[in-house]
Amino acid sequence: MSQAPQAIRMRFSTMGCPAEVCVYASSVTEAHTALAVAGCESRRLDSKYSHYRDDSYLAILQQSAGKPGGMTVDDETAALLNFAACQYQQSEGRFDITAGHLTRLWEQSPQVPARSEIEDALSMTGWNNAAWDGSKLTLPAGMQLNLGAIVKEYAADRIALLLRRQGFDAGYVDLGGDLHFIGPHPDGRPWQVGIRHPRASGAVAGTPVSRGGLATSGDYERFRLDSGKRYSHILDARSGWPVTGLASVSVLAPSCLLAGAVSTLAMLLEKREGLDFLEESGLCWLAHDGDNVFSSIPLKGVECGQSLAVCNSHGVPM
Amino acid sequence: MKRPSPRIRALLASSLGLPGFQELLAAEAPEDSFEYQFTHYDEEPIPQASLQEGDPDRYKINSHQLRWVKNLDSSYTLTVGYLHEAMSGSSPWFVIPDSDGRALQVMSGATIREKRDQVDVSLGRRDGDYTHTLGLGYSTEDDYRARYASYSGKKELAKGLAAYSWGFSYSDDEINPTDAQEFARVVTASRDAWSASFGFSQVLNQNAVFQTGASLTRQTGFLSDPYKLALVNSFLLPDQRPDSRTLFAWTNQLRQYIPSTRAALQLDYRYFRDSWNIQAHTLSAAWVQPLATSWELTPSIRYHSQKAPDFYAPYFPVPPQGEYWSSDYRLATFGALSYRLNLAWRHERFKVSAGLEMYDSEGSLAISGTPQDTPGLVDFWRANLSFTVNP
Amino acid sequence: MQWFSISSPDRRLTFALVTMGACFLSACAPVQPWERGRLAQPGMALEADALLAAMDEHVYTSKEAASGSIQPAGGGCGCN
Repeated sequence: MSQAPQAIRMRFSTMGCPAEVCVYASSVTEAHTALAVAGCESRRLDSKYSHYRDDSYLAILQQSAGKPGGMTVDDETAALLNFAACQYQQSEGRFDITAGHLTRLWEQSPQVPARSEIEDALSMTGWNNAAWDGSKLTLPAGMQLNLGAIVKEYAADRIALLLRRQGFDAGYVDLGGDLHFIGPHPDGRPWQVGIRHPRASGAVAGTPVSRGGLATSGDYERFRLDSGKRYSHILDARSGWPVTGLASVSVLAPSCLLAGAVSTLAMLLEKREGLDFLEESGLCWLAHDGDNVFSSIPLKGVECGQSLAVCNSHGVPM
Repeated sequence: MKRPSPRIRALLASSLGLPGFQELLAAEAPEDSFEYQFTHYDEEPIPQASLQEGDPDRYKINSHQLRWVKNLDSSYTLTVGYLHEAMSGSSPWFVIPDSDGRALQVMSGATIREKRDQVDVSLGRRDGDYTHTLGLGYSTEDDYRARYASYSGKKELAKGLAAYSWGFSYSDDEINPTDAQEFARVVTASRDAWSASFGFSQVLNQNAVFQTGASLTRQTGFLSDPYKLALVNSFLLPDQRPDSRTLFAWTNQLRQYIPSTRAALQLDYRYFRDSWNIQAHTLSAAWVQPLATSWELTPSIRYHSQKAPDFYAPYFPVPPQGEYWSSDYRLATFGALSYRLNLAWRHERFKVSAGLEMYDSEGSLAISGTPQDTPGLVDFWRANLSFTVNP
Repeated sequence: MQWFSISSPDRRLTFALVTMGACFLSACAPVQPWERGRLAQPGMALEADALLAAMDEHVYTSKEAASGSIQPAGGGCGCN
């Protein structure tokens, strides 16, 4: 029996994050199709690119490090590496997927790592030391890849694409704060999204979104306090230290992958540079420096009807 | 979405290789735009020393152009253009020698006032690697009317690193000179033109792109200027040119990025040759320099040199060998240098641009052919101001 | 109709330009998707600002004897 389509929200968990898919469906079966699509694709990407599994494709690629012939990768991985190479180039080396050692050092060390430990980790970091010709990747011995900063956004985009192919054209995908909006409500109303305050509870702003990717990079949920100093989980792969610029950046872009890349790049710059970069980007964005909100659009107060809490967003899946 | 910055476009372009991303991002329609440009064009008066008779003040033209680009859906784009221009001034009529044989210009007596309106409509369709565009246009003024149609196509190769383009156009023009009976001008005449073009563009490396292409045009009908006279063997006769003309142009364009200053160098060269035995070389260079966040300064220089057809002379002391003659200064052997400075400001959805050009033509600047004493050669300046908005 | 022939100074020039073109093409390096950022700069576009380009063509073709480009031509005018 079919009725007028209704918005159905379904929660699941993937890549170590709470996730949600919302579609307009006229039956429970139809809604479950959407959930199955989302679950399947996110599991596929998680098992392929997780660096917590020894049997993942990423682990196999990792094991090729130090082998002179390198490894020829599949088309999907090649395209992801191409994107990562572009991020490396556009961030002048601040964003680097070969910073696996550095990420692990900051994640696992009980206190702020020593300068010598950081130097050691940096010596095994550097995309320019890897040889990449568009299909074959040759990593120097000991180098560790970390695709965590890309895969979750990419998964949100892929799920949105597959749902659209299944005929779902109203709804969104939310993978732990990395969102892709498939389309507005059937009557054309946009989704209302609330953006969280980086230091306090509650939203900073509400914004209507119909289509596209929304990603937030911030230090509010994943950070460490050491001797009263706050350290972001976003690391500058050139210096080896956490970033000190903006506190959080949300970006709306045609894809979640692009939104994530832009918000991360803005976080990696000094505050003023980051704001200039966002200003120039031509995208919709909202940034917070801990005290003040900056935005590409005049803020209309915090009115979120059907508000989505844009929780923590970015980076390495835990 | 507003116009993304080059860094964003680089990231966007590099994500298109991901499986399904072209399909995913195709939902993002290309941007619409609305543009307006005002141009003031101003010719320098004929120097008194070269003027025999008539009004020395030459053309001043004010033009208003509008262009509206609307994406109907993800594959169809409609473009509508409108031009209105108002001109006033006098124009060179014929040339006579003084007692020493020096050429002197006779200008049209009364100031000419003219208006021209032009409307263009085109519909483009994107289909994978192909783009097809059909265009129609109409231009009208008191004494001239043109109707034209065009088709052009483009095919991208090698994932956008190269492209072929081709085009055809046809124009049907009708001439009804003013005061035809008073001045014994042709009362009504027509001409038409067929044109075909082909081009190929190629990304050379991450800093350079090159395009080469050629066009062939065939004009038939009344190709003379109904307002101009020539002094032939002491008779004043109407301008008389062949009634057909085949034109060939070969155009080359190079765009080179200069990383040290983040500038783009644009070099263009055109070789031209026609069946009237006119040949011309046109070379231009522009330096597009981005300044602070939203400013862009573009100095440019253009050089043009042409060799006159055999039937051109400022005046004809003895009758020409063939059956054609023209003393129109625009067919003379000359060279022209022009300098332009353009300043543009971009902010979010807006762009404002202003430019100034100085154009100077001289017989002695020609690189080939023998320049003759042509008092009508024109110098002008042109200023333009434009606004663009991407709503 | 009289057709044109290419005289010798032109032949030299044509040869030089063809050689120059061949050099450009041999300088072709494969450009990967992540290396296209500079080509996306506005100044690197082959198609110029449409209104300025249309006005340039109108002005130069009505004051000079040459015309023609890679794009198909528009209509004429009685500009004298």
